[in-house]
Amino acid sequence: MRKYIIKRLLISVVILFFVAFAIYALMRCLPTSYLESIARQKSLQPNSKSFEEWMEQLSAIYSMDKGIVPGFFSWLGNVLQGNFGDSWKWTVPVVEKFKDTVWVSFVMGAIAFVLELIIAIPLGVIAATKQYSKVDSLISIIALAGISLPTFFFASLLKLVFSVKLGWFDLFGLVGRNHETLDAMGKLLDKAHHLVLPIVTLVVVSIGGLMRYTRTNMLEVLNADYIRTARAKGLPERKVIYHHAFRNTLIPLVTIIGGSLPGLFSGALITETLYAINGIGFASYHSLISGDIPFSMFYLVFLAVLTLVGNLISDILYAVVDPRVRIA
Amino acid sequence: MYVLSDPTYDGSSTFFSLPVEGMEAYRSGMDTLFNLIAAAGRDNTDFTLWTEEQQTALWADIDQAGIKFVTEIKDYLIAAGYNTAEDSVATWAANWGFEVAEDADEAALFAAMVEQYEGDYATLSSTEAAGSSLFDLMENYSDYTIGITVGETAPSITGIQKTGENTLRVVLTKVDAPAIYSLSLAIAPLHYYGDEAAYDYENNKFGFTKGDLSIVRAKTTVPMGAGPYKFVKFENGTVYFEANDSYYLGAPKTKNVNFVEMQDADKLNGVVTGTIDITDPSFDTETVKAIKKANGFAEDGEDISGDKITVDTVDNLGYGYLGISANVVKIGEPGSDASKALRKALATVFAVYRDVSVDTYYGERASVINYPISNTSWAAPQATDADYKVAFSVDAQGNDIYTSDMTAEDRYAAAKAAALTFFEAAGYTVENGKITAAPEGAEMSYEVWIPADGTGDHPSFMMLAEAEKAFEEIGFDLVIKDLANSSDLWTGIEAEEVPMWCAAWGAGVDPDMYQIYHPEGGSNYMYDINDDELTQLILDARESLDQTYRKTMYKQCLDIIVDWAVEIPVYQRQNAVIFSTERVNIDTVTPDITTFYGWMAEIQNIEMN
Repeated sequence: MRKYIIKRLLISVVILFFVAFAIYALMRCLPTSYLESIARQKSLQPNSKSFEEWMEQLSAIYSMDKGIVPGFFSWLGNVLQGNFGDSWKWTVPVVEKFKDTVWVSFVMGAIAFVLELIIAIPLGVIAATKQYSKVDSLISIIALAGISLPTFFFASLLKLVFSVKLGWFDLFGLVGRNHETLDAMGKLLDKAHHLVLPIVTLVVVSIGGLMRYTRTNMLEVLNADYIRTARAKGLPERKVIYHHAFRNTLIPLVTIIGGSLPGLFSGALITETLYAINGIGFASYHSLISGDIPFSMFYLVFLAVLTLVGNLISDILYAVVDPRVRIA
Repeated sequence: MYVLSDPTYDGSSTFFSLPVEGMEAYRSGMDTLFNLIAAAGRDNTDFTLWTEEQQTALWADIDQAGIKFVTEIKDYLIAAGYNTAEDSVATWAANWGFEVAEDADEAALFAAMVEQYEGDYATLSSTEAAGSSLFDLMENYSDYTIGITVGETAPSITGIQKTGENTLRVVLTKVDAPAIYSLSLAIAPLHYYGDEAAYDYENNKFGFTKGDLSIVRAKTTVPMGAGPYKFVKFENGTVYFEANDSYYLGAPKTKNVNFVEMQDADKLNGVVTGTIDITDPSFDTETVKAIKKANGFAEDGEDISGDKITVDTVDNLGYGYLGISANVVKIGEPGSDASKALRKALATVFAVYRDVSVDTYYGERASVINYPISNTSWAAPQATDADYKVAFSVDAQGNDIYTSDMTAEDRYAAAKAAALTFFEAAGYTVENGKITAAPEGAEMSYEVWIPADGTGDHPSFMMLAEAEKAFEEIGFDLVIKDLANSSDLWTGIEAEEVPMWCAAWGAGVDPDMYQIYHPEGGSNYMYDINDDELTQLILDARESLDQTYRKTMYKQCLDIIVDWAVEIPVYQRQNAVIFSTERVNIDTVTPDITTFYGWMAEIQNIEMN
């Protein structure tokens, strides 16, 4: 097992290198250039140097006057020394901006993820055990509605109903107007109150997929011979489903759950933007569209690392939940 | 102002370059210790103004900084792949444009640089720096920024005259119309940036010792203003401010103000729901309808401000336009008659569809303009002026193409017919009401770029769509490129890839046209307009304070710009600020809001209900 993990880790490093290079090359090829924007602003100032002169100067300052390959190795060299650089857009060290924004996204994502599991998996199991019943149809309709609803539409709908019409929540933001006057518990509750709609949005648009996935896998297992045998032995239906069938359904579910790890840190770009929550999704989106290469590189490579780790965890969890899988 | 005028001031302000009466006398006769020692040279033996130790220490500091300075150049060259770490100084210096002896070291290279710049360390640093400035690399530069009197120097600037507790007068030695806008300086608190004990206006003491700005330099990284609110923190997408009780116009009535980040689409509902109190939504037809609805008024009624929302509108300081690059859309020289005719052919068709496009997008919140200048400017021609003309309303022969009794359809047909006369004048082959061939250097098809989010959401989009159909009828192909990312437009314009584009200009307070239409202006690259007469008029207009005279000059400028047909003026829109009537005491908001005087100008008076 240890040998397998070490081998996988080494392969992951190679993959990560090429992924990072591909991301860097793509970032350098983006039509949006932060330096061009700055050079344009500066060249418009009275008695300023020309745009070309500013570009030349800024390119030298930001080390963008090198080709993609030397530029990438220069970036990599700095990263290996623990220097991720300063974000061009946010004008603070990349790591500092990341720390400032990632936790609110993580909390949102983690709560939404737990709720998603709590809601989607039992509903998927119920739908499978009551296949073609009214309950199954109702659950399937809800699932399909969740899958089909675009995030921006559902979020706007929630805002219209619960904020504009009912006035239960603020329209946007992570804190209310009186946040600073509250005590510690009050501040926490204020933030929790402001996260209700974003989390509901995330949960509703994501439970559909997991619910359908659980249902399909559960149905497959319920049709297996050993389930029929279990029933023939006279085991109670509850035990058949939750002890024998559900445990086997867990195997594919673990793949999904392992693959969801990066999602917890990647933020929710659309949801955060719609609710004006300064999370990592919001920050990365604005960094990308403004051509902030240091921050975008850090964020995207971080996600690549998480994806690789997620895949590794999935593979290890396979061995844990499925006795048939044993890694030599 | 005295800080910015000090002989030792080396910040970014160019206030000292204004022709202020007495400025030269105040700044002359004094120089920094650095400049004096550097000018005297290493062999100086006159220690009247400084000691030998100071001189020795400065040269040692410059020498060590010089080595660091050229080492940064070396590191840059190695990092960029031009050199390797093993290369000699002479080898990498050659790549930086300096020739030194084969056995030269870093110190010799720096000496060569100093020689080339004739001892001008400031220019050397700003021109050759590969990273840090030379002065940042010095260990004790601040010790040498003190001013030393070397001759007669005036104790005050005669052109800066205090006229009251909070008022002053600035006298210039010559007419410079835009100079007044350079006097818009931030007010800085004396108790923080200066020494109150050193302030005695009558005795030429202005809060610091002349020639010693150390008290100010020490605060450059911890700035403080003198406005009505103090910055507290930025957290959770909110900027927190609290009242500055020492504000010179009185302590603000509202203790705390939060500035909240939000989407434009949420602005109106933000006020309706109580999430925010004041904002400035995009003031289009849909927003107006929504405000009327929120206030319980009929959508087609006149009333807009009501119990829920109070609206204040002013003309926007700027205008929408369609630009044509003279360097891309041309036949021969950009300023040739054929080039102008080609651009006028295009402009004539675009211009006729402005009304329908602007009316559909903005309704009554915008109007079509006929000169490339914001209506908010005193120099903007008015419809009542004798020589006022609708933009692009004549044919190639100079005949008016529209009459007052024409229907919209008649006007569209007249525009197409006039465009054909211009195409013909440009050298296009016109047969049976259609162009069939383009002259050399011109095209049968041109692109127009518009940043309409890829969805056609732009006040000029309908104009383009209608013009596209009209051009097709006369045998010309207009290609509309709708951009989701507006920055692509600016990149394309800089690369001279964009023949035509739709955008908006933000205007300044003064109608000075140098920035865009003078060949040396920072934005001239967009249209590439280069007209000798226009250039001279722009310069002449700067040298008068007579508004009537300047307006006449600018009218001539505008006529030349229209003749070049590089810019089709499209719309003058309004801006709106909306207030929650329920939560903001509207009686405390300044009633004098204009384009140039916003609601925040008297924010200290605003109270909440």
